[in-house]
Formats: sequence, structure tokens, C-alpha cells
Amino acid sequence: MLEAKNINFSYGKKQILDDVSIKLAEHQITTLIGPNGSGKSTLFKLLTRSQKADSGQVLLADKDIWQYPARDFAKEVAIVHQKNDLYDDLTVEELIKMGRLPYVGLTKEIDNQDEIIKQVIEYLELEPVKNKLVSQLSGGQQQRVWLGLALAQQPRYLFLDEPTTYLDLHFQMRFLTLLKNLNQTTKLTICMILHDLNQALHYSDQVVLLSQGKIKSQGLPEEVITEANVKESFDINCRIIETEDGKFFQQL
Amino acid sequence: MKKAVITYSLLTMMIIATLYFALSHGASNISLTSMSQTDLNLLLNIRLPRIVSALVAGAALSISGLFFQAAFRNPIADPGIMGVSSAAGLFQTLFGILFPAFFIGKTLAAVLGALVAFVLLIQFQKYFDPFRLIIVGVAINAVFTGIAEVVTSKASSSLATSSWSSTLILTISGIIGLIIALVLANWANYLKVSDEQLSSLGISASFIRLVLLLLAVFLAGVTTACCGVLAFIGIIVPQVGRAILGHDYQKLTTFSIMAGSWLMLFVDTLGRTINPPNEIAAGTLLAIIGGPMMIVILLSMNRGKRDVRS
Repeated sequence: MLEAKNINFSYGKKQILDDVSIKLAEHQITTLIGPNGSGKSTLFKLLTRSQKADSGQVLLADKDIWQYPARDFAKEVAIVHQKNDLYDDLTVEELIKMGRLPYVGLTKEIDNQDEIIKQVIEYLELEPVKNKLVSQLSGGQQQRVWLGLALAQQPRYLFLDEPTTYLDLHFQMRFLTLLKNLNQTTKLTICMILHDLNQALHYSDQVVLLSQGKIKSQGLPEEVITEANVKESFDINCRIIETEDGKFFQQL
Repeated sequence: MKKAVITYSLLTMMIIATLYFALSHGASNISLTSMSQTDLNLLLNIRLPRIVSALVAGAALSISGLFFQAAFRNPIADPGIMGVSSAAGLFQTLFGILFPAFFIGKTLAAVLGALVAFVLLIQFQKYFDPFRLIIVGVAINAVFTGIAEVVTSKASSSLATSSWSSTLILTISGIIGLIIALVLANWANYLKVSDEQLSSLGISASFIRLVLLLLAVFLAGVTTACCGVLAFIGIIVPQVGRAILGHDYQKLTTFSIMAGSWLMLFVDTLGRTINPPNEIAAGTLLAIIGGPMMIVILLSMNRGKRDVRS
């Protein structure tokens, strides 16, 4: 279980998160939504140990996440960052192999024959490009490689920071479908930030809406993404349309 | 892998051929098969230490440059142009003036000087992107070089002044450093992803960077104590390695040790045999090759071929 208990965080005088508590639903996909400055990115950073809360705690299996040695935490929680910089050439396989670092550390070499790496490459259909340089791949393929790096960590929790930002519509849909399948087949607990409310409606089991540093609403996607909530938090008028394929958000 | 084996074999042959030439040629030519006592003396006490120094120095400086480039994520980073070697040179010169008889002290002073320049450099790391940091390094270099020129009119050591005592210190400390470099080479590969990414893998990028840079500073320091300031070889060798063998730092480390040894021996031998008894210093020849090479690297990065920031 990964949960935040009464966390507060501020930058200077500006309160970013105000007494936020949240439990991630196990084996489900939770999506964080909210307008810019609502605190969702900060909450994401606090949950992934990228930043420390001013007060309150983030607990993993009832233990404060900062009490875990860094590598042990990385075996439990993997992150796909929004910006993925590469400073030099690296092949697909070489990059995914780095996901084994939490297990081998700096003193041992990563085994070339590692079964996990093979499985990840196969699962993500990266076999044909595994010896190519990451920089030579399309945006959609690159995003799958970074996901591969995270999956090679064999985490129980996978965090993704706006994973569709740099993808075109086709790859956005493919990537989110891939996450959904991954969650269903492996029971991996996933938490991500999304901006697109329709994607949040269709690809999440739980949605958490943040606004002005507080959790405004959380629950099933259609309970959270309502006309009233959207109006109040994002200050836009919208309509939620019901169709045979589920509910859709439409901006007015 | 096949390419690497061919490259290493070729380099081995080049080293052996150059070694043979270097031993037998110079201000007086020696036949290696029939030697007089004077020839043997010249060979053992003048040429051999100089050759061994060149081999170790070339390898050490190439690795030093390679690790600087990995740590600063910049293919033109080099202790020779970023002030580390000139600070080492200045400190050992000062120490030599104060305590002329204490040679190992000069090596220690050089390493200390290299560390001082390095600490200065990383103070500025917070404020500059990797490219501007190089320019800060050039400025630091100018200051230390300037002070050294005020203190003494001539460089206190160069390959030409190699003696067995200086060569032995360089060889022992250099080989220890190079072995550590071979063991740690893979760490340089890890620095290809961001610090943030490494941290989410439970690994501290700062720690890796510090260890690699300290090793690089040590190698540059001990080499400078024995052979004086030799810039550019740390840029030339790794860059040729990248063009031939690609981006893997484990291969590049082996390549840099072999190719660096060969290049330094080659330019030093060329410099002393081209117009004997006059000599062209190895550093001068390296600058003549290295300057244009640096411009070529910058041009290719500009074309986006090797954009380190993409």
C-alpha cells in the first residue's frame, strides 16, 4: 500500500499542498488531474520520493518512504518521467538494461542474459529495434523504451508524469491502451498525471482531482469528471455526453 | 565486437612498430642488434624512461579526457584545456623551487594543484551549462598558465626531461589509475541518462560523477608532474574512438588507453627525430592536431549530428 498522510508542502510563502491524504488503489490505474498550479505535480513528486514534504508522511507498506534505502525503493516504485533526456548514444537494449540497476547496484555488472530484460523487450514489441539507438526511434517507440526501463525495475507501483505529452494522437491512444493491458495482465498499480479529461475518463479506474492544493474530488472517473467539478476547478463550461461507448467530455 | 578486436590488434601492432622506431632512432641512431656500451647506456637511461613516460602519459591523459567528457556530458571537456593540468604544473613548479630534492612531493603537489583547479571548476558548475563551463575552464587555465609564466620562464618538466625516478612514479600511479578506470568504465555509460532518472533507479549521479572526475584529476595531476602540461590528447583520442567504435564507454576506455599510448609515443618520437638534435615538443604537435579537431567536433554538434542536449 502506498499512501500519503496529511502532507503539506510550500514554496516560500505559497502553499502548494494543504493537508493532503491519499491512498493509491492497489492494482488499479489512478489518474491525477487538475489545473496548472493545483499541486498535482508536487503530489506526484512527493509520492515518488523526488521531493520531501514539509510535514506529513508518505508510507509504503506502512513505512516512511524516506526510510527505504534508495535502491530498495526503486525496486518498488518506478517512474516514467515527462522529460527524458539522453546525453549520449545508447541502444534500446542498453537503456532498458539500466532498469536492473536497483538490483545489481554500482559494484556488479548487469547480466546480459537477464530474463527480465528479454521479457520486457518482448512484451513491448521492441525486439526488432533492440540494437538501434534510442535517438533513431520515433516518439512513440521512444516512450515505450522509457516504459521498458521502468518495467525492468519490476516495480509494484508505476508512476507516469504526463506520458502522452510528446506523442501524436495515434501514439497517445496506443500507449494508454498498452498501460491498461499491462495493468490488467500484471496487476501493476499505476498512477499517472494526465491533462486530457477524455483520456482520464477512459483509461483510469480512479481519478483524483486536485484544485488549489487540496483534493477536490476522488473516485470513479465519471463521479469525478462532472460538469460542476470541471466548471469549478478549471473554470470552463462543458458537457458530459453519454454514448454507447461510455461518457465523453465536451468543452462548450 | 569484431570491430573492437580488429581495432585493438591494429593498435597493438602500431605500438610495437613505433616502439621499435623510437628505441632505435633519435639524435644518434642505434642498431638494436649490435650495441656498444654507450648505446646501451643511452637507450636504458635516456630513451627508455622517455618512451615509458610517453606511453603511460598518453593513456592517462586520454582516459582523463574521456572521463571528463562523460562526467560533464560534453565531448570537448578536457583537463588540459580546463585548467586542471596547468594548475598541476604551477603547483609542482612552486614545490620544485621550494624543495628541489623531494621528487615524490612534486607529484603530490601536482595532484593537489589539479584538485584545486577542479574544486574551482565545480564551484562554477551550478551557474553554467556544460558549454559555458568549458569557457570558465579556459579562463581558469589562462590564470594558472599566466602565474606559472611569472614564476618561471621555462616549464620545469616535459617528456624530454624524463628520468627513471619521475618515470617510475608516473608508471606506478598511472597504471593503478588506469586499472581503476577499466573497472569503473561502465559508470560512464550510466551518466548518459539524466540525474533525475538515475535517482529514480536508486543511484546517485553526483557520486558517480565525483568518483570519475577525481580519478581523471589524479591521472592528469600525476602525468603533469612528470611530463608537463599536455593538452588536447584527451579530446583527440576519445573522439577518434567514438568515430570508430561508437558510444560504449567500456570499449572507449580500452581504446583510449591503447590509442593514447600510441599517439603520445608517436608525436614525441616524431618531434625528436624529425630534425635532430632540435626537438618539437609533443604538446606543440598535439595542439596542431587537436585545435582543428575541436572545431570539427563543435561543427558536427552544430549540425545536430551529436547534439549532446537532445
